[in-house]
Amino acid sequence: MKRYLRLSIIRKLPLFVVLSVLLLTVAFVSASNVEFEGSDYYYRTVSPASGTGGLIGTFFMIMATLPFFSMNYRYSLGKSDLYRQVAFKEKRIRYGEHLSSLIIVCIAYTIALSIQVATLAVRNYIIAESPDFYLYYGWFIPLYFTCLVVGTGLYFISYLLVSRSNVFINSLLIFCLGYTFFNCINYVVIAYCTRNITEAGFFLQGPSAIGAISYVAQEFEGLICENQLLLPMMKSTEWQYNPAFFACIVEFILLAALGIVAFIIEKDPSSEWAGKPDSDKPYQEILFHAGFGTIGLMIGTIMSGSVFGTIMSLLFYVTYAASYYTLYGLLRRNFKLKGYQFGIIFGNVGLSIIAGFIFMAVTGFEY
Amino acid sequence: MIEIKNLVKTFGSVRAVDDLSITINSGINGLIGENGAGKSTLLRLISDVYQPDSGEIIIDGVPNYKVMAKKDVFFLPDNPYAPHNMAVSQVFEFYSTLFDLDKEKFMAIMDRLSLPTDRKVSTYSKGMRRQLFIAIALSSNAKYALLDEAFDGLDPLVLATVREEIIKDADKKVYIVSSHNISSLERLCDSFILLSKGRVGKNGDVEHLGENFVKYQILVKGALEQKDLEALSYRVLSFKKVGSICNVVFHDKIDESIIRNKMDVILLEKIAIDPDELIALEMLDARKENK
Repeated sequence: MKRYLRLSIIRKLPLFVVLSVLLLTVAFVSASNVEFEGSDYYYRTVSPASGTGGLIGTFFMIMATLPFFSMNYRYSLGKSDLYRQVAFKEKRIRYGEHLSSLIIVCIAYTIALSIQVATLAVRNYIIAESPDFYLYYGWFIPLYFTCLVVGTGLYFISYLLVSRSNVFINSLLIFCLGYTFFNCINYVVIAYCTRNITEAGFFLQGPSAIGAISYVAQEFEGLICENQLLLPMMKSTEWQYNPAFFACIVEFILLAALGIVAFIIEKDPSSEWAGKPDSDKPYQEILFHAGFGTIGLMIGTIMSGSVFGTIMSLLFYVTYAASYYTLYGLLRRNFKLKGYQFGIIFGNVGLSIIAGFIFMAVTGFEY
Repeated sequence: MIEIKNLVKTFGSVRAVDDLSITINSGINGLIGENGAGKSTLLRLISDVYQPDSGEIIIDGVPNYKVMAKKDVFFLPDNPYAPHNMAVSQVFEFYSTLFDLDKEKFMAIMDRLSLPTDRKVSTYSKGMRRQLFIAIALSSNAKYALLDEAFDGLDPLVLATVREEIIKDADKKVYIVSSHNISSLERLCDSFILLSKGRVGKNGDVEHLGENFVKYQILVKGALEQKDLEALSYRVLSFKKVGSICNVVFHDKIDESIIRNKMDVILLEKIAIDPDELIALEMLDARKENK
């Protein structure tokens, strides 16, 4: 395993260089643009910044898309011919490919964050002439480990989606379909709590499974700057103020765990499927119909709220339905739906609306 | 020794390898057959790139999917993978990390083939790329080298050099070389395995290839049809008219005197069968037998 891992890391050095340059650029630019001059209390609430958000966001985005780079051996028969014949066990190849990707990105992130902290410290000292006055550098250590954990979780959520296909473009479409669906789950929770899509903060409060980006960034921004006036912003990370945050965390943990389990127990499809579509058709169907189910739940949940909200929300539902349909059609390279699929969609949405409506009527939760 | 027992591999409804059993001992083995006969699939099965539906492959007493067995096999597919933008020497280094390769030997073969090692693979022509990967395969220290359509597109000069290198190496290594073009395997293989529809149609020493076939040029007064010869209880494998002369290939030897007695023969002459035609006839024969 160690040998394969070492080989895989060596082979991915170009990827390491590209990601390092990207992360370092973001880290350096964001740290260089932080304002320290605003020394009065009010100013700091307007522009509170440690500049970490950009780096965290970039790191998470890389982690979410990284599985694509670890699945090379499944995307073409040429690569599959090479990797499958090598005298390593199949699992070692998989573990080696994925772990090497994780290791190189984590090393690049570690370097970038170190550079960012160093740049911040120098600028903080030179400009404000008061080191450690505005920024609490001790929080960078938990920030670092939290980001590694959350980033790894994101990686495995994406793995769960990306590994459903052996064709790059199909993996990408399932990735989009999956995150659209995960995003929708959070809106169901907010819809349940607010019953009103027009309410301020509906969209802001309900980020997708990758909402981890904004939550982690917001939480640590407040801690590093230790600015109490950030409290309204920080409320978004307190579940009693924002149930979507709680839903996001639960969803995130479940999906990441599912991704890790899939990674450990699933076998790669036989290499005759390398670069060939439709090895995992059931997952496509499940995601597609589950998407419509969540739409139905949202409609049902909000129907018991305001009429205006219900009308407004229809536009929102149509957008989601169109997204599901487009992604699913692209995935199958065929936009025609069979009769039974229409039956499933309408039945699914209808039952979900009723279920959402009854659930709201019985529980009567008010946000 | 590679022992293949009752191997089956299907792709959907197609049986690419159909209950195939064979033992490959030593030397240079030509794997021949028409397109879709199952040659590439068989090589991928031996090298554990594909997993069989049933049956087993044993390499020197060890199942082929075990790491111990895989170490002894080097498979060169018809379209091998080379990482983007790498120089030839880097491609070799990359393959060295995955396989046990002999650098000295590789450099010597590259030198013989007059291939520059400092150029990027992307600047190589298709034929040069093929030569590069043949050089990598030949420099492998694996005991079994499986070459899939490796000689396609090589010019005669390069083909002769590659052939020499393989023959030089044949006492240390077992080669299985697949091709649908018999001329590229001519004067190279010790034995052959003819595949037809996923089965072994025929196998044995190359000298036995086509030993059951005889080809005649026949000219008779009046018209000659295939059915006229079949009426004499001969099995006609191929019947082609070139002008008024008929080129006929019979399965098994014939008694010329019977034809002379029954027909008004002007010309009845036995002629040689060229290697390409020979393999085509073997394939035809195997296909007929499969039916």
